[in-house]
Amino acid sequence: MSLFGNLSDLPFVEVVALLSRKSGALEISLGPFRSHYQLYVADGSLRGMVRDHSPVEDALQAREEIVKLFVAQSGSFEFTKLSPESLVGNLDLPLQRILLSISTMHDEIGAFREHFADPRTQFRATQALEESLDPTLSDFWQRSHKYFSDLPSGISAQQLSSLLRISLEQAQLYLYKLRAAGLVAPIRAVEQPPKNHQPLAPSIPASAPVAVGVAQPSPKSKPRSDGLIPRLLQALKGKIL
Amino acid sequence: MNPLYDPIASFGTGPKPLKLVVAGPVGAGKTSFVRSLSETEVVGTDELATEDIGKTFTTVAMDFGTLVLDGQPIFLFGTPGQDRFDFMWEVLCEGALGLVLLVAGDKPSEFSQARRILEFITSRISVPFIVGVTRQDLPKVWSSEDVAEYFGLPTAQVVSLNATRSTSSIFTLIHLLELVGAYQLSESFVSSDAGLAEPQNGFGQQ
Repeated sequence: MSLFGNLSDLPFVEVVALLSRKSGALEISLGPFRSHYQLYVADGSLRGMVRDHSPVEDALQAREEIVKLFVAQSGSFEFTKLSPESLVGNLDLPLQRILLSISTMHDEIGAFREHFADPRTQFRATQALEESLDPTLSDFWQRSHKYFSDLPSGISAQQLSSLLRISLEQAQLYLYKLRAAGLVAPIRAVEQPPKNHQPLAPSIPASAPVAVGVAQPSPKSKPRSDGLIPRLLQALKGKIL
Repeated sequence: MNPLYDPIASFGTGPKPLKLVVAGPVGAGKTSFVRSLSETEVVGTDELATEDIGKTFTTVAMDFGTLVLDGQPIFLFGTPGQDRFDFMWEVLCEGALGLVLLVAGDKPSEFSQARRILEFITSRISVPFIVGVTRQDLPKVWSSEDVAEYFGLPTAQVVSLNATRSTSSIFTLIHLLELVGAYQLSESFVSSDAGLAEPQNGFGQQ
């Protein structure tokens, strides 16, 4: 007996639940001029995926396609049983766990959207990965790490979304989480000032409402010849005295 | 304000003006900061707010004030705070000597937007900056140290101020200039051309 219907009646989440102990090919057509999918599942795992006649190459992309199916309001589907042995593909993703993580991701995007960095903000890697990340974040990190490390100007959510073919908000969420994990940080186009630099003019009184950090110039540094900044500082300080 | 008064033209052919940019979310005190420093009447673009942003009038294009220090003109540009004007942040910061990002210390709800603005600008444009935590006259307000931690910045790069008091604003400017000087000393930032990149409207010639 065939298993078929429309996602408008039976959402993708429920279709996947029905397939948890089955093996075969699930064909989904989201409609005319929209994507057509073949998902090969065995024992609750996604073993391979084809979208519009092109194989989906890695786990991160597969997750992105599953997100689209997860939110699809309609689309016809049909499942054909196949023997598990015939389903040897390039993927091995536990479908129900992925759906759970997608559901979580949607909630997280809703909850953290306001706190995301601007999509054009450039990020860099700050440290090597020492602890294990959750599988979704780990896939993202593995695919994106080279961009953080190799590009001197860093990389933005906008660029990652395009390079990795994932949604912009997904890229922003991953960056938000990687940042919280201390693995990435925004690039500063101008380097941090040297620690403990010396003030160029008499220092601000302790009672002044500012926190002054001042330091030793680095050994190779040399003062500017035009003295513009000291002149401006002197004039400014003259305004308060 | 006298409609015929042109604060830019009044600088004539003196030294090339330097540019300082003041950014931050709505209500952070940018207009107050520019007003408290400017020696000329501030050219503002305040309009009635069309949405609930906690105040009646808000800056819709920018504030512009001027200051002369030891014969050196400094142009102060206050950016509009709303996200939809983000295209102006980059334009204004290009070639600036420094950036002051203001955030109201009593409004932690605005911190994420302030951080978004700062990181957007500073990840793309090489401009020395400090963060100023305003409204320090209020009893319940974040300290500069805590704000520094939120922004992931050294405490020395975050200062507390009351933007309505000119002394407090001057101290903030002093702090920024000391930082600019430190960058120049370390040669990590070459700013001899900082300021207005190209002479515009006939001003800026040496």
